[in-house]
Amino acid sequence: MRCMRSVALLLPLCLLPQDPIRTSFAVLAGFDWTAGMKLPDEVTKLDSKKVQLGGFMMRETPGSGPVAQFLLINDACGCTGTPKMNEIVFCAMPDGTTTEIKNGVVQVTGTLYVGEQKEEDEVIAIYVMDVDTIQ
Amino acid sequence: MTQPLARAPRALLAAFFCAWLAGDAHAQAPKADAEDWSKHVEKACTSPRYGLRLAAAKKVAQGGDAAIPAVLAWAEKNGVNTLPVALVEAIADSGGDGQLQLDALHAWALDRDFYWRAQALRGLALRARKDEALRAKFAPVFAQFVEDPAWLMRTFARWMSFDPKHDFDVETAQGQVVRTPESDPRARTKLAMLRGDARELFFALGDTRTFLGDSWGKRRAAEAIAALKSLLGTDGGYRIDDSASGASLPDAAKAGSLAGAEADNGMALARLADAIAQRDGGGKPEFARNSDSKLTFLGGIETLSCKNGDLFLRWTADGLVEGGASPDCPTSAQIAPTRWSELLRTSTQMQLPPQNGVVICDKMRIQIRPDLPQSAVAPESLPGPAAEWLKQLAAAIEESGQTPLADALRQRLGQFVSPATQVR
Repeated sequence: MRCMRSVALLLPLCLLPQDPIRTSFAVLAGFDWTAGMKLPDEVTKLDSKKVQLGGFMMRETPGSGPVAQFLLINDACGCTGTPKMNEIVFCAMPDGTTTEIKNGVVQVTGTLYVGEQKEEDEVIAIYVMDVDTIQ
Repeated sequence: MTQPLARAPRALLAAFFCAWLAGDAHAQAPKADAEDWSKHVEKACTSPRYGLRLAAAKKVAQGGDAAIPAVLAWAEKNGVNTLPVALVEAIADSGGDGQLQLDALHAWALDRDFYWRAQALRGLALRARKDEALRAKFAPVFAQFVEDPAWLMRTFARWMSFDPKHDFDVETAQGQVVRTPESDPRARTKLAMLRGDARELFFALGDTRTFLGDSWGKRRAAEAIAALKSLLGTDGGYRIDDSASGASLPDAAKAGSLAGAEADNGMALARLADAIAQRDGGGKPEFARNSDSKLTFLGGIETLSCKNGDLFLRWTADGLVEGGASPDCPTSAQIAPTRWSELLRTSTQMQLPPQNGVVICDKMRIQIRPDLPQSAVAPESLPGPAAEWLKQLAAAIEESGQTPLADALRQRLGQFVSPATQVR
């Protein structure tokens, strides 16, 4: 009975929102990615976790106005080269919401999904995030 | 207005394209090529999915000379700057040595108005390093850009032109000897990566500097540790995010005065220093910490231009302006108090939309005051009031005695100011 009571007392603690894990592109992009490779434990352990990550927002295609999806990258303009797959987090806003592309470094919090995603037989993403907040 | 210098490569490219249309180039393409390269090029340029654009770009690059006419046709029809960086980079990195690819890369590298000319020059460099005849052929091209204002362009040019042991000694095509050491930390690290200079890379590991919130120093350190891992076969366990604030981390770690992740990082640095000393046969490289000063900056501007080079400027509440062509802002100017008070007063009347124009490559990031969000500005899109304010800032910088910095700001304004606004 006492044991049951303890579980009942601890249960609400488990339901409290988890603090996001602070991560960075140094971790996400810290390896040479090739299609089909086994991703390092350092990144797979972040799969489905709530994380916070800093970077620059970039549109997936040039344009203006609010977006429902955006890329989070580690470089202000990408002028030094094409961001590699493991240097990009594909971010999706909550259903029905959009955001302006903010300038400068932003901190994005959300649930990160790690693993190759394919379309037309090509890897189109390794990191995808369901965004909660952008600061 | 198009500069005369920029017309030459365009004319070269146009003539080259016409020759292909006439059938000359077609004769050099593989005969059994059944691919519709125009579809792949279109996908590389327009697919709404980044990953698909990237994959299509790689496919086009792997198509070699057979795919180049479709790339040129796209550029001819839509403008060369609609070619995405991923496509040019893929051709530069993984394309073959076919004549059409070489000609395209050559023409793009010479085109000052082409956003991705540095990537094209890299393509020439990669090929020239494997082929002495190409190296000799393109040597004047590389020498031409060793003083280019765009740091990436300069880096590839210097990689191919300088003897690493005599870093700033090259004879240009005009017979002049250039003796300017590379001062941009980003370029120094990139050059070290290309050359496999482990000591310079080790030096970059301690960089944590920022500009307008951008941790460019950590990005530099991350590039350096990745390159060191490739060179030495190990990163020693070093983690960028766990770096400490002390100046002599390896020594402190060995002495046991650090704890946790800091201690691990200190030991990792010590291991890396040992590995570098063993590899090079010299003494152990010194670890140096490069961190931000204690100054608080109210605002600043960052202009990134593949064409004109970068300019960084930031200012404090007291009118101290730091700036330069690299994000470490090597030059400073103290604005006279009355002049600065007036600039601060007028800054409070300014509002900038978050986006000004559509940014493709060259861009300005601007924060006039800390209470306003940062704005992005595409070329020819800077609104009049902000342009006028920056013009006044340039005048104030000049009055403080830093004329080159003031001139650099005026030059960048020329690129970003909306045509409706005149800045003199």
